[in-house]
Amino acid sequence: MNAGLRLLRSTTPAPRRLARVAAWSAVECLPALVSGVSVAHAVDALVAGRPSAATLWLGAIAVAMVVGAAATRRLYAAMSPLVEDLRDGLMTATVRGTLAECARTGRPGAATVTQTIEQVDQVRNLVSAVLRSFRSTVVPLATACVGLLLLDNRLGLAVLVPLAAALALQSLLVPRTVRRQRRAALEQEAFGADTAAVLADLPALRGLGADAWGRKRLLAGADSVAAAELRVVRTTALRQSVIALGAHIPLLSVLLVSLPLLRDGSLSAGAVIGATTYVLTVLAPAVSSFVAVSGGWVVELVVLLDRLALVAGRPGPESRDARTPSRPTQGYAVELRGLAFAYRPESRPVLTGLDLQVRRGEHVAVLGASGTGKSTLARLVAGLETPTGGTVHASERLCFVPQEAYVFAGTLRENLLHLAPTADDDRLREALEVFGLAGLGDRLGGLDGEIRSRDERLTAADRQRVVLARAWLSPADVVVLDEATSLLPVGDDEAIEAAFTAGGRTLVTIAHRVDVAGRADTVVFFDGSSVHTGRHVDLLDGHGAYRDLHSHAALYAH
Amino acid sequence: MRTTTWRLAPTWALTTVGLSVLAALASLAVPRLVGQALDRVTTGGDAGQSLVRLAAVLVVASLCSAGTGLSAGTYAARVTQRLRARAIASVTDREALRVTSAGDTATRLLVDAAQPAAALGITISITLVAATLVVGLVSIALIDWWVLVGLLLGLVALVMVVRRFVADSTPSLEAYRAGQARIADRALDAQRGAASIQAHGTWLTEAERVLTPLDGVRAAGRSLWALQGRMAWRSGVFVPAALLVTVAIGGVSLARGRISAGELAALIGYATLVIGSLDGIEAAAGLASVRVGTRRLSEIAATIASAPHRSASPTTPRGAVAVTLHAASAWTDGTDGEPTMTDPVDLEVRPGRVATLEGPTALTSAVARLASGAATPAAGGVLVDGIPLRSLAPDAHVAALAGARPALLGDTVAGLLTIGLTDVGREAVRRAAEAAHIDHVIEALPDGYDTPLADLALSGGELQRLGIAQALLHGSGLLVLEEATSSLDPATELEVVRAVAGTRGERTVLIASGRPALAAIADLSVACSPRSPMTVEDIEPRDEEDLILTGEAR
Repeated sequence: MNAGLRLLRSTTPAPRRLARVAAWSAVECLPALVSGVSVAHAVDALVAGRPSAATLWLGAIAVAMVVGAAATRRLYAAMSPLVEDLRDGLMTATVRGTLAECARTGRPGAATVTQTIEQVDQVRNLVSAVLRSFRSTVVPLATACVGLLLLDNRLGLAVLVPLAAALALQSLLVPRTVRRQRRAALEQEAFGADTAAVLADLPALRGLGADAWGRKRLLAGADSVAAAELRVVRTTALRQSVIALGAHIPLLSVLLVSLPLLRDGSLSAGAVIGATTYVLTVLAPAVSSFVAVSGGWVVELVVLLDRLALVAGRPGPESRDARTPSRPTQGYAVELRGLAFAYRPESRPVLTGLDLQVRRGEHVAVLGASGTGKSTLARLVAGLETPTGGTVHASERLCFVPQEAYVFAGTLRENLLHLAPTADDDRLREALEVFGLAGLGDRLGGLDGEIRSRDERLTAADRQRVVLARAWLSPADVVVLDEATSLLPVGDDEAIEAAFTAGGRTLVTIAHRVDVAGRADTVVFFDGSSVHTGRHVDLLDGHGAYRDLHSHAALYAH
Repeated sequence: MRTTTWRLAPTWALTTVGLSVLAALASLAVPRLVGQALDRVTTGGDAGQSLVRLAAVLVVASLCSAGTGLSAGTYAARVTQRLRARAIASVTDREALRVTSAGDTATRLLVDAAQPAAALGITISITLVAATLVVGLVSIALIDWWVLVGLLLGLVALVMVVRRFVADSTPSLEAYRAGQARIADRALDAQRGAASIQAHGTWLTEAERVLTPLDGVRAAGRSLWALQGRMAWRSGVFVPAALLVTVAIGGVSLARGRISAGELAALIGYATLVIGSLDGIEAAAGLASVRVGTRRLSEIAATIASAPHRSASPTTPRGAVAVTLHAASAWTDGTDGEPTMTDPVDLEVRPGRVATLEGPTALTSAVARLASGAATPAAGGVLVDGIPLRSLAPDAHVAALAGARPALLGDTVAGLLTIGLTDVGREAVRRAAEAAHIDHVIEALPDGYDTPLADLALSGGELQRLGIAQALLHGSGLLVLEEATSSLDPATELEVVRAVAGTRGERTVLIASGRPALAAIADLSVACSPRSPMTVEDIEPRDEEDLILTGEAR
């Protein structure tokens, strides 16, 4: 609850705006305030045979209506920025939280963004509804009380006392409803997660003859959801006692109090009719609304904000500088000393005691079977993993291109400028030429052509080219490509490597094709149990597994 | 299903209907009773009796409303619970033909199952709105029909205002939704690019980019507010205007002596009731989701096949069992998603043999699932030691299958291994883990066998070995491996399968893997062919001790 309310507070500025909403809500209720008094006087006037006076009193209601309608317009104008700012704030906080998690883990995470955005909108609607309900709850409650006191303070007291008791009772009930509602929401969530898990494993459970266990577990989950829901239901029965206390008892007490007063002539019949009008038409609906709003929408809002606070509060990555504290010695782009890495203390280490020095302008190819640790090495060099032993020194301006080709919805220009915001159009056109993107540029309608989300006009190879061009345009002097050319035709990768090294850049390629080894200055070979570093020709001479790798590749090529 | 939903909790349904009707009647009676009491009060008569009557009606109204809330809520919770139980029984039924996607089915069980219960409340409130409207309007007409004419004119004006709003706001609403969808799309895009965002440290600029459409959303939101404001003040005029009309017309009638002051108060009360009841019409929109939920839920139940036929067998085989398939075929998902039957298979494997199943995957997999009891035969029979597998008690745990992915349920590692079993000692668990070559991995975990599953991070190969240990504990007489070692490297795979084959003194072992190397460990190979029934070449095994000692294969 605290996290949710903190999130709300951090995104909604200015209590003054709230005050303005409350003020216009009050003015808006002018007709309601005037109605009881006016009806009372109008009836008295009619009974006394003074139709012109009655018309005047009814006219007062009409004037109040016009004022009230004007206030309604101003009220909406006041609510609009308040609610829209709240939505913007929540949306920004939750999108940031989602991306913060992506940046920290490097993995997409749960695809619940759509749901989160939907929840932000639910909060927007609930907050509008609650603010809007000032008009049907707080304001009429206040105006009915004022109106009744103006009409006759004895009748007013007859209403106020039970009403105050009702409000006190409701304020005791709401926190309990919030607790039970949250409990029910958690039970539902747990049931949903459990159901998905058990059903996913159902074939395996059948194989074990343990499907009855799965069924029992799901049934137990459904039972605890029902139990939690029933506890919520029980609070609704108590709500009705608030309505009885706040709306029904005042009606009776007005009539009871007025009996002796009418007899001794200190109260007019009109005043009694006016008072019952207030109670029946203003107070009773207001009490019902108040109970419904505070026990329903407000509770829902609190529970929803809780969930959003979880998303918004996700931590981002630690700063990169903290992870790569020192730079390599002069003339080198990357230096690895005694590098060791394991994903968990108890798991088999991926790397142990790796030493590697990469000179500036050098082209290094990393080869080996899948799952041997090539990508891990790239991530360590890029500073995305923390080594369990040894040190990594890498150039500050290092651009790591991971396997997945990230092209986003936006113009082609935005995509290319992603890592080089200052590059000019000539440079962009050169990049299109170098990376074989001229055709795509034409198809999209130039640099300002719009790329849509999951645009089917772009092939997977096009995406790789865009990502490579982006890295080429970036100011980095060390580029690490993790299978970034895997979908391009043979021959293209050679030209691309040349484009990168031509400017004197250092290039590290995690290779999917072995022929890159022949073009590289240095080869790092993962044979599954150890890592070997050397020139291509030397490894061919001295290492059987490396030779096998190349002859296999030759076999597949033909 | 829809027509019978209420039968799931008939008492609560009837209570809800009864109490709702009583509560509505009581609140309808209130304005008239107030009027009568007022007349008595203002004319100086004895108001005691009318006040008592009013009080009684108010008490009834309160109690009935409270009771309605309680019984409607209980009805909804109970009906949902029962619908879920029914759907759970369907999807977990052994005879179920298909296993639908887990996530989708979970949504149906969680969200859709909660919908049908809402139908009762919606139907009641629509009926009550209609009834209140009719009774309220008739009561007004009975007192003073001129007031009715005024009120109806007001209603027509209100409907026009609302319709105008719906038409005007549609474009802004669409722009609002479209902007939101663009943000969601961009955010999903960015999530897919998580590795790049991490690599480049660009998450803050990315967030800014994802949120670019927010300006458009904001603009659309502001214009929606303007339109809403316009509708609100127009319809906001309606309630007091209707009241004004009622009082003006009623007042004239009062002045002419056609009605009493009490009747005027009653008129005002009824007018408020009629206007207030209009809010309930919105509930009708909920019927659409009820319909969708009911349909989606009934789709799960529709996957049940014929009622299962189980006759419990008095005896449970002990030790290694003989496996027999008589023209047995299994259900499988056909190309069009409709269930189809696999070709019938005959098979006979003697107790304590280790056999590999060779042939098309569809067929070897069907045999594996049939022989282990994971699938119920669509036709033919599956017997262990001559007893139909289906007739064994559900907790007999004679046969078990280890697949490519184990069941990852339970609280701890030990709980996972003994899922659904009772009274399994730690020693037996350890022995099974040893046989599957996973015991050292488990021992290395922070809390060993008691490590919570939530803290478990194992490779695919380690998980498969857990799955084999799991199946060893669940199948006392027969173990079937179906692609159960696919993620292991060849050396470990041979080691594990050899160790499992080493338990052939206790159980029969069937292996469907498609890896030729494993056939070398087995005593016999069974060729499955789609056309002709399966042929069995039962080759006499070599001396078992010899096999185990040398760890070598035929």
